[in-house]
Amino acid sequence: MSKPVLRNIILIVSVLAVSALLFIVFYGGRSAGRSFEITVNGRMYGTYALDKDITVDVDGLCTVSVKDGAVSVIDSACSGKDCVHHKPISMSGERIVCLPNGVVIRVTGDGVDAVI
Amino acid sequence: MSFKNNHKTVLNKVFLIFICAALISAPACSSAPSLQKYSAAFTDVFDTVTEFTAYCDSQSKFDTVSAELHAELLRLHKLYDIYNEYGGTVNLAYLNRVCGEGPVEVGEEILSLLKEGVSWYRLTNGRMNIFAGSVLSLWHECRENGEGIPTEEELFEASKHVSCESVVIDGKTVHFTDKELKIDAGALAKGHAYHSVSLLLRDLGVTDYLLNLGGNVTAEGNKPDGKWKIGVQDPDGNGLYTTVKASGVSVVTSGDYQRYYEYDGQKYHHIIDLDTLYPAAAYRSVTVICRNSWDADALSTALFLLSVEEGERLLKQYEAEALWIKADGVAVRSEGFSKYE
Repeated sequence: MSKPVLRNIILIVSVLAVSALLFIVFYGGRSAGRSFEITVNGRMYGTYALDKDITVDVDGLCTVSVKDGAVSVIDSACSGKDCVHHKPISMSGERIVCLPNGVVIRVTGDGVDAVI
Repeated sequence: MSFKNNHKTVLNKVFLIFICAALISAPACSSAPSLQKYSAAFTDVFDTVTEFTAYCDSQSKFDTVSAELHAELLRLHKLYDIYNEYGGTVNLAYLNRVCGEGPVEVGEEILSLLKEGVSWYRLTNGRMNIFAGSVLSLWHECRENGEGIPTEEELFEASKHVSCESVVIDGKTVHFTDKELKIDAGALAKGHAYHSVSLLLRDLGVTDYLLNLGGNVTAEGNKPDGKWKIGVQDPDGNGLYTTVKASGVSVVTSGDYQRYYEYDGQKYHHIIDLDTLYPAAAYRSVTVICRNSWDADALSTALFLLSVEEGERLLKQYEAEALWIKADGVAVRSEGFSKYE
């Protein structure tokens, strides 16, 4: 292999290697969203971190709890209780909806704007 | 070449490598830092959650836009509602009640919805049928109750009243020659609603936004750091299956996990195959990307009911792309789908 070709290969490989390294530094460890937002009847109620265990009383409509990096509804004043039965969510874009109360809880982060 | 020069060249190259690498790996920098991201969620339209996200310069501007959007969505929700009538409004529930009696004059929006329903019926040989309300309502009732399934006799009897030949559209009037025929425009209504909404948002000067009408997403313009990112759910609930980058397109998913109920250990979802009269079983989900929101909405349901080959023919006709996740979990992509991923 001639020297210039070898040099070019080294150059390309180096660019890719450094890119990968920087990519990991900038974007690594973001697979799980780190915060979530609560809206009530379309209006933002609050944004909370997912890395601390907390309990939020949403205007007496429902009680939201964060445990081990996942958020769930532990109590609700609605009739169906679909929101309470929903599994805890932690991935960016995942959400729990309480239609009767107009409450939406959505994990944010990762740059995902909507989930279908 | 002297050693010194050579050394300099190497240093230059190392520097260049870092610049290139930094450019490649970190392109996401806000180009318009003055704009803030705002979002709102409505739970009272189209029996689903509607999320609206836009970049605006102030909360008050976003709130004004959001309130107008909500009012328009409520109007459209009432227009396409098949379960409730709202005094004085000629909506689908009203038409379902009176069109069997004789011709009824309808508004422009309903007229175009019905005409499109007829053309989809013809295009898919009746597989994609918004006039099959008699069958769909039997399943809807069971889903609402969360138990039971319609009997074979009920389904068979109802399936006699789903022909689009019984729908007579004459000028601005509509008449059902079959009194048992009912409209259920679930497969088209959201796409049509979006069309009206997009005109409103354009008039309000909103150019960069994302509207998610319960699985029916339209992405206009861009975020400050690039295209909108839409996650497509894994049908088994394990996070996201893939993400799609969108700008100026609608992305719509029809999935068996969106609306369903469980009865006797079996899941029953909302997209009914009119050949079997049971929920369609070939796919877990079908995601369609298309410029036009009407077409995207209709295509996702149509593809859910057709073979991949039939679906591909439709996609070519509408210049759309699709991702099918089959019942066995195998994914099939149309030729150009991956360029959005």
